[in-house]
This record gives sequence, C-alpha cells and structure tokens, in this order.
Amino acid sequence: MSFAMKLFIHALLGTILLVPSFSCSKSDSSLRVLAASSLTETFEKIASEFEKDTGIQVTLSFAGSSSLAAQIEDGAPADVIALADEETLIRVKQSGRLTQHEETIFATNYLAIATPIGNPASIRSISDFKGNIIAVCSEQVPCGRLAIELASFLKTEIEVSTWEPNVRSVRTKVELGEVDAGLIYITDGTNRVEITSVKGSERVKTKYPIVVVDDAKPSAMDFVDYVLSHEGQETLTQFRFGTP
Amino acid sequence: METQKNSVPKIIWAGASIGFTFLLVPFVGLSQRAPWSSFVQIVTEETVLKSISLSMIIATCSAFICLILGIPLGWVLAKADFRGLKLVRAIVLLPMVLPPVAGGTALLFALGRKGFIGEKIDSWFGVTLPFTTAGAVVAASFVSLPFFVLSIESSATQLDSQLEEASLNLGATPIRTFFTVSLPLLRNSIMAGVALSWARALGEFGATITFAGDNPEQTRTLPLQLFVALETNPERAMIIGVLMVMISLSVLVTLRGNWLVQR
Repeated sequence: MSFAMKLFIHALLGTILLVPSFSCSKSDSSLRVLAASSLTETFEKIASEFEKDTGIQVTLSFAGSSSLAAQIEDGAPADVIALADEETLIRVKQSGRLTQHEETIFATNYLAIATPIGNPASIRSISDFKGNIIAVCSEQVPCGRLAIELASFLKTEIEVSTWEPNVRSVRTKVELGEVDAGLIYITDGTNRVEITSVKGSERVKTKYPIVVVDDAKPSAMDFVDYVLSHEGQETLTQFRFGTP
Repeated sequence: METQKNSVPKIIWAGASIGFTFLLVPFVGLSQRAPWSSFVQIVTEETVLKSISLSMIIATCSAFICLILGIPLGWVLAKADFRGLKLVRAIVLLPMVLPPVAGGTALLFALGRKGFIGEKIDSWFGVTLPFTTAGAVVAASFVSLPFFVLSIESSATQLDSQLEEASLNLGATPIRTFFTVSLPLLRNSIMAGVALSWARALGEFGATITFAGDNPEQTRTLPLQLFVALETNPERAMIIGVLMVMISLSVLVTLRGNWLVQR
C-alpha cells in the first residue's frame, strides 16, 4: 500500500500546486466568450484582432453547443455566447439568462463528407456510406441535428457507427483513419482530411446566433458588433462560413 | 482492536468528518434534486434498459479479463524480484492516475484500426475494435485492471508463506502449491478485486467514448447515456446518476471494506 500512499501524496501535491495557476489566469477585466467548437480557429482570429483594436482582453471557451447550453444553465460566467444553431439557443433562453438582448444571426454553415486522405473506402456520396464505418455528430449537438435533417432532405438513411460528442471529434476520428467517413461542417476541412461536397447540402443550412448574456460587461456589445462588422464577417468568410 | 479505535484523537475525528462530508455532499445534492417520481418510468425506458444491459455485459466481461490477467500480474508484483520491478509496477498503476481520455487515445493508437497492433488484427482477421462492444470491454479492462492488481498484490505480500513452504516440503510442485494453497488464501482479495474492478468498469466513460465511440447498440453504456442526457434532458441525467450510485454503492457495501481492512 505504501506505493499507493506515495501516489496519493503526489496527486495531492500536484493539485495544490495547480490551484494557484487556475485562480490567477487573466480574469476580471477580460471578456468571457463561449463559442461552438466549429468556431474555434475563426473566433481565435476574430478575438485577437478585436484585442488589437480595442485593448479589451477576450477569454474564449469552446465546446459543443449543447455543452455550452448546459454550462450556461449551470451558471457558468459568460458575457457572450455564440452557438451553432437556433434550437440550442431556445434551450439556453429557458435558463433566464438571455432576457435583455436580442440574438443576431452572424454566420451560416452546411455539411460535407470528410474522408481520410486517399479515401480508402472510395466514398463519394452519402449513398456510399452503407456498410462502412461512419462517424456523425451526436443528436444533441447542432451538427448532429443537421446531419439528420440532411439525410431526410436527401430521402436517405445513415447507418452510424459512432455518434461523436462534437464536430471536432468526428474530424479526429476521420483524420486517424478510424472511420471511413464522417459528416463535418464545410468550414472544418483541413489538409489532413479529404472533403467531398454533398449535392444539395448547401440548401440544408444551420444558422449561428450570437447573443449578449444578461449582466455582461459593457464591452460584450462591442465584441458582438465586431463579429457583425465588415472585418469580422470577412474573417468568417475566409474560414468558409456563409454570411447571413 | 477496540482500544485502537477508541484512541483516535479528536482532531483526527474532526478531519475525518470534514473529509467524509466532502465526499457525501455531492450525493446528497444529487438525490435531493432528482425527480424521484419519474424514476421507474425513466429506468424502464427502452434506451436506458439497453444501456443497463450493455453496462452489465461490458463490466462483467471486463472483470473476467481482470481476473485472468490480474492474478498473475499481482502475484508477480508481490513475490518476484527483478530489475525494473518498480517501473513495471508504475506502468501497471498508470491507468489509475491517467485521465481516461488519454488512456482511450493511447488505445486508439495501439488497437485502433490504424493502430500498430490494430492494423494487423484488421488485416489478418478483419476485426476492428473501435465502435464495438468488444472495444468497450477493452477500454473498461484497461482502466480497471490496476484496481484488481492492487487488491491481489497487497494481500499477496502479506500472505503467510509457512503454508506454502509446508506444501512444497510435502512434495507438491510449485504450480500445485499455487493453485491449492496460495489461491484459496487469496480468496477474499480476489473477490474484492473482482467487485472493485467491476464497479470501476461500470463507471468507465472517458476511455470508452474515445476508443469505442458512442454507438447506441454497441457502446452506449450508462455513463455515456448520462453524458448524452446531461445535455438534452437533465432530469433523465439525474435519474441515471442516482441509478449508478445505487449500483456502485451496493457493490461496495457488499465488500464491507474487506480489501482495505484485512491487512
């Protein structure tokens, strides 16, 4: 047992040493923005440009939209929240923390097929999915709902091997070659996966709402304005997001 | 024993009470918020029943694997002496302290379809582990094996070797001595190890969702069901949480703390 004891003491020390580093991160003055996973690179760029322009520090936190909704319900500190669909927003509104401001749609997105480099299973359309290992976002996140919507729009059914918690974990499974194909946002393409567009998918779009949380810092409004500004929209377009 | 129990200083009692309260409070919170009136209805939903049965199958298979691999491993760690023993022990215990997500990722690189072993399994047998129940068993075994090994090792080190020596002196082979003398002496800790590793496997989440994915028919165990519910239907999540507490608590109570007290 002495080893376990030592292990325990080490773990304890580790925890104690880590605590201060959590508590003294850039805190009060900075703006807290919660954003959907699919916005990761785009919002990192927008936030750094915003910081440069205004001198206001931004702390970004990314997760699947449904995780963000749960965080808001649990009272997580936040000034601005940007989600990947309107359905999640309806849920967040039930928390009673979004009563003072109206949301604005700032971007749109649609799905495409991602395959590992070389496309070993030769998947060119959703009808090729059958009999292969397929990853799709879980139904509780926007990209999962969009996948189901797309399937019904194309009057087909998708046999799913794994419902991943967010769009980035779908892409990772594709990148690693663990699945033959996955459905990801067109904006999530990288040079480590191959993207095949799905005919008609650009007509099944998801709309991204952004909204200021009640009791947010005054600069929250500035951030939203920046996202909607010409510069912000240009960055979104660079990352292949559609404009509202 | 009695005198020892009575001699606990007050300050230690105080510390212990705070520690116990710290561990207890979250469960009080959970049971206080849980919508008890819908317990039966939620627990008997088809998807939840499917998760319960998947959890039971996966935890039981995993406990069996721990039993087969854990007894020799624990025995070697307790009895053998060789260079690098400390390192081996550290590696065996690693899954206990590693974030399960990291364990799941590591499993993916080793046993995934493109992993260095998984690739061979795929090309030779056409079998892939990720996104299957077998994969979930592998993930659960990976994280729960150390619990079993610790249980065996700690009691094997304290085993009275006189009985084994007597058996050997009477002419029994070492292998016979192991099966007829040592193993029966380890009975309690084997039972404890099985129960502990079973309970750990039942609660496994991170390695499972990373390595085995989330497939309602194959890998969506109770913890994964809870995770999905937490983001869609919190009431349902609370009931599943309560259900898991009840199952795990009954396993641990059945143990009666045997695995720690018996030294």
